[in-house]
Amino acid sequence: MTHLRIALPTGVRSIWPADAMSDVPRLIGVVGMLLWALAAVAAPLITPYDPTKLGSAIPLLPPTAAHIFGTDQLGRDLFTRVIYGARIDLQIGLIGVAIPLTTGTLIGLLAGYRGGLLDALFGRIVDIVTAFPFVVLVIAIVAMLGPGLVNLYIAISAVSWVAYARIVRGETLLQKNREFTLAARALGYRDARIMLRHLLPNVIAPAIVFSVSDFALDVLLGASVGFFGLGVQSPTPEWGVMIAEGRTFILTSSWVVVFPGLAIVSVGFFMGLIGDSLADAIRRVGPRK
Amino acid sequence: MIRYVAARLIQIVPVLFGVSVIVFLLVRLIPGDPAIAILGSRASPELIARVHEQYGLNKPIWEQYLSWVINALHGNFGASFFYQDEVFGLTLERLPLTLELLTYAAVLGLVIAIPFATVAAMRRGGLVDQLLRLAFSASLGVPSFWLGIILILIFSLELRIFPAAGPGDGLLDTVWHLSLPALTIALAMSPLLFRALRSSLIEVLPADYVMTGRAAGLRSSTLLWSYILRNSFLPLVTVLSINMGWMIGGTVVVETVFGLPGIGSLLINSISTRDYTIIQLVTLILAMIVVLVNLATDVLYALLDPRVSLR
Repeated sequence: MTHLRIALPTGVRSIWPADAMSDVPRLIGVVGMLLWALAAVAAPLITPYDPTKLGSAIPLLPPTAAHIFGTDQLGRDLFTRVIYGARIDLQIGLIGVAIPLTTGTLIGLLAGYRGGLLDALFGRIVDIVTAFPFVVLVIAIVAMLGPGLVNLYIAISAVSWVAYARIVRGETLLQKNREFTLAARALGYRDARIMLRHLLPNVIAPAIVFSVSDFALDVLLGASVGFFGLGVQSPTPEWGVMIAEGRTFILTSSWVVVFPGLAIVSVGFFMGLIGDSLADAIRRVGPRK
Repeated sequence: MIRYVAARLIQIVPVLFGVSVIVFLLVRLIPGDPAIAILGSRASPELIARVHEQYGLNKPIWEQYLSWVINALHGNFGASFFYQDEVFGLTLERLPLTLELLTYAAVLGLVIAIPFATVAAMRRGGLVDQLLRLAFSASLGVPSFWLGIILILIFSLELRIFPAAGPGDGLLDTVWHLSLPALTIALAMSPLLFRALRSSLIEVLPADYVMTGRAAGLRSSTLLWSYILRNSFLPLVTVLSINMGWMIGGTVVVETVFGLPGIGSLLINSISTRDYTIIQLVTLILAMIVVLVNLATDVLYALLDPRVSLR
């Protein structure tokens, strides 16, 4: 595969160039997300409190040294709940990206490579699904299936593959008539091999860049769905649910709403930094013919 | 021109068909018997039979779809068990508020994005540009339900400038009541608008007519307002229409946070009252809005820019 990378500097590797660490915004984004991942994994080591146990402290205590984010309306340490909340919200981002990235990429590759009737059919489906406002369709599907994380994943998977498929299809159309694909075909390789071993590494980069901002959007969506009571159910800590339940106390104890919100904002910020820098990296490589 | 519009109209037919199929099939996602999901497990057999009748659940699926479409074209979506009223009228009554909110938010979004995008494009690559891009891409991850609550806290509860909830009466009062909700949607939208507007301005700035204008000694403000922004108007409309789906998603969230009786909050409220027909109808209406706005944009484009229909 090395010869392919030399011939085509636009593959996966190009979005992570050698000078990646000199890109300060990207570095901030990566470090920030690593910290969140660490917090989610090592939550019990970071905080001594229990995220769900009731009444271990006075309710609605303002931030102090013992409770740096204060306590919530049921006397639980808010910092602990925000940290444990990362487990759910980052999971929504990960699964919400992983499934559509896989299915969308495969569908886009197939539609772009095969063309013809399959591609025409794909085009119609894309037109139909994109006619729906994304959030509305996801909420409608979850509303029908019933609340819960698994149903949220089903809804996201049913809707957001389209974005990935569209990106990959476009890239495939550009790459399928290039020399390396023609050479692979001349060598008599089967279509599956050409698509997965030759085309895939060369068309996936834009989809991966998109998946970074999509991750942030899925976290947003997951929190919104939680806010409406359609996602994770109380008492499991989830940022959207925490904001929904803390709303009533906003005038006297704004921290109950402010901190979970800032957690969401920070994930969006870090992912935004990474996404922008990756998009720039792809653009720097220049337009592909 | 007429041929272009006609072709565009014909293109919409399969989309509308597909949208209606998806909306129709939504009810099929309910696990178990939808009648029991609506009425609860202790419902009488007569009531269950009535629901089966209303949803046409006892007929083959293509027949169900056909009768659903025919009924839908007559504005007959059945009755709501919760509101004890006919669903279509009930939903349509709430539509104007949602449309007002969307329009207001679109205007505010442009008011926020245009000046920043202009400054950023003119100082492309400079410190101001970089900071603005950073700020806007950071704000892309701000959840609108949270932003709405924070704005209520600041502007309604602390400063007491804007009302925290409700739609208001009469034009001025409505505008006043919708200000915070529209601002919430506009702020959530502004990163997308900023980004698109900035890049379309960057394309326009090196154009020949800008150079000519400069050489002719036009003041840069005249050049900006009468020439550059005017030429960026079409991309602006396109950006708004492309992001229509996002704005509508924002409306659903924001109407709920601000207690506005539009169709977005109706959608959310209908989830807990198990009014599946309303969920279907609202989803259908919101998708239709997206389709129609995109159509209107394309037609407007063709009207204003003759090159489009020649393509």
